[in-house]
Amino acid sequence: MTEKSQATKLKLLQDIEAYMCGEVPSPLAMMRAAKMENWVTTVRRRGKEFVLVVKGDVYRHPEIEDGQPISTSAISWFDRHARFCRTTNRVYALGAPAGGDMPVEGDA
Amino acid sequence: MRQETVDEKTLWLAAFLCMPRWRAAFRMASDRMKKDAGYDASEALQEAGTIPIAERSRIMIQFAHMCRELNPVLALAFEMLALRTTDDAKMIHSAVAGANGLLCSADGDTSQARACLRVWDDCARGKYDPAAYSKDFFEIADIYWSGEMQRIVASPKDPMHPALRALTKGRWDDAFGWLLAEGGEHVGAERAQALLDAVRERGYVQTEIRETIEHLYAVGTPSAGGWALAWSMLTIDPAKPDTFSPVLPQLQYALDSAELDENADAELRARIRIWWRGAEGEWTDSLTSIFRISDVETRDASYDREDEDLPLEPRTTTTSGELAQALGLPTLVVMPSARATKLNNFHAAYKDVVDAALPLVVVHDVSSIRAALHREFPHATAAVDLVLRDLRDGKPLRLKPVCLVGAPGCGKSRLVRRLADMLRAFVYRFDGAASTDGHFGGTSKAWGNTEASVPMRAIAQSRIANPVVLVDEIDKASDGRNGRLFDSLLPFCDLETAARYRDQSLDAEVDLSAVSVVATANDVSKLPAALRDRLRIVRVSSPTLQHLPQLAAQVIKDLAIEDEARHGDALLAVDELAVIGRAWAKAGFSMRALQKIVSATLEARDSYAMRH
Repeated sequence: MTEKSQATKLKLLQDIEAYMCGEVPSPLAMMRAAKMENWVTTVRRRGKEFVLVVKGDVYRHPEIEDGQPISTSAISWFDRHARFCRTTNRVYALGAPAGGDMPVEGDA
Repeated sequence: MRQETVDEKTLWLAAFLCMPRWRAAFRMASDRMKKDAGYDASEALQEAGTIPIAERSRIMIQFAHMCRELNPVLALAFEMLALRTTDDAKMIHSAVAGANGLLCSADGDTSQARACLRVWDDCARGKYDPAAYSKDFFEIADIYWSGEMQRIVASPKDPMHPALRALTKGRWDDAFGWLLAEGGEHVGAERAQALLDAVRERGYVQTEIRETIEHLYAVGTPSAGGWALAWSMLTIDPAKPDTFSPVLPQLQYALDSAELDENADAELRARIRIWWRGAEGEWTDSLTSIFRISDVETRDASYDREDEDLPLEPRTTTTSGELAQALGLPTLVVMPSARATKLNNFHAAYKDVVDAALPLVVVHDVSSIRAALHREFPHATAAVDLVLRDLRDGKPLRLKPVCLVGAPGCGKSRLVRRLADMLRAFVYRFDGAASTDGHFGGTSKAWGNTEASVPMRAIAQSRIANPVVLVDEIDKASDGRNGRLFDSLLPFCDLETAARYRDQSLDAEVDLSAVSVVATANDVSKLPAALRDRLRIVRVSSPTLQHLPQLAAQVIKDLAIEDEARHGDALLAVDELAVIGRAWAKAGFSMRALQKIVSATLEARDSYAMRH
């Protein structure tokens, strides 16, 4: 295991521990986090096991252009009020889920 | 050079935390830094003794930044070195929580280090003598850790994550009962009582569970969070696959990071896979809980495995009474077997009541109930106060026998019903107008279609010892040759007699002292004197025009609950109220009439509304 993936794992462990204590990402972290809009949750099969992923249009992702439809990697924590979710690598802020409201005219 | 595992790093951190002095801890960290980064931090130590402590903390934070990329655990160690006993409690808590999370996950004995961390946390909370604060954290922990150790060791050794234990439950009820019994201390007695009161009604119980989850997350400890996750498993509805999302990822994570033996791991994984299939939407048409589904499905799949291999706990069905007893909540044995004869076939429903300690509905927050009722019944505030006079917070519900008297339609029955709703009590309505005999007190065991007394029936139906028996329109009861309602009601209006009532159908002496009898009547003069003496007569006055705005608003609210299309209806305008008021006065100020008039007004408004 490389140092980097170890650090990632450690960070995930600390974050989940914090979520267990009822904490949520700070407002600043939420503002910086990649944001999913128009999202849905989907269950994917990985061999015998299952994972939950979020599909939607991503914004503010460090490696992906804004507005691209993507699917996240496996979710390790999904907030009970659907405010955010955590994959091994990053926190995603969750915007409006798909199929909620009618699109507003002129709103791209 | 061999790569160090996360576990080894964590054990190093544990050893670091057990250092008896700040200086020794610093030496350990700086040696480590020299080895990993080739940077000699101990040069700074020579100065660290003489420079002010605030400056020292600043240097430590710098070291933490320097080695964060290289070795996050070492960075954490430097952050801990930077902490001062005078720092903000929040800062200390967050550093301690980070370290504690690491230590808990490590393979190896980290209990002493965790005990030390508890001392750090307690320091932040100001638990220790202020004199101790002149020392540093390491010194204080060195003095007090053994005391904290007892608590860590005394707590059950390596308890499995509660959510994973809940995963082994085969029924929703089992899981609920187990969570209440085992996790009761986290939830608190008051919350446990509220949950228990709510469990009789599906809608209520989900709200209560959600509140419990929020409450547990608000506690802010990992163990409370674990219980919160376990409770959130009860909110899952296989018919709505979305309800799995906020539970399964974290549950899977908990399972993946748990240290389990092979069999338990395989069993739990088999079960969680069924849950995942539920999240895929496999059982959207099912009415059973996901607990039951996963139980049945895994048993089918593992029929060839030997049963003793399964780490399942023996399946127990706990009754709400047993639960209440286990939690130290009030119960009452209504029907002790010592004073009962053998039940016959007609009384199958009462078998479970014999010798059972039935839970009692406990009163919470009388003042807010009173305020809510005052709002809903602005014309009857005096009556509300009189009825509520017997209720005490934290005591079981029991009203002295009371008779509400008032003109037709002034809201007597509704008042009782709303009160019972707010108390989450069970109401058994008995129609006085339809009564022509002494059926209320039960019919003789010798008769073929023998039936127990009404209060006893209410208890058997609700499985609680203190239901409310509502005798509606008591003054309309008529006499017949088989006795009178009035006479059969008498024993229940007297505490002494009710506590030892011989039910002639069950042929048993039953304790009905906790049952509340509430009657309604238009005219008390028709009641015999004996009954009038025993009932507290409470007059419910009719509403008048001055109560119209409040009552009409209430009616609109009720209509909105019944009809979704009425959501967001505007309140009544002044001219509308004026029209309603005139019509209502003609109808004699009855609540039923008001309901009709208001809904007619709303319909009229709809049909004349502007369309676009």
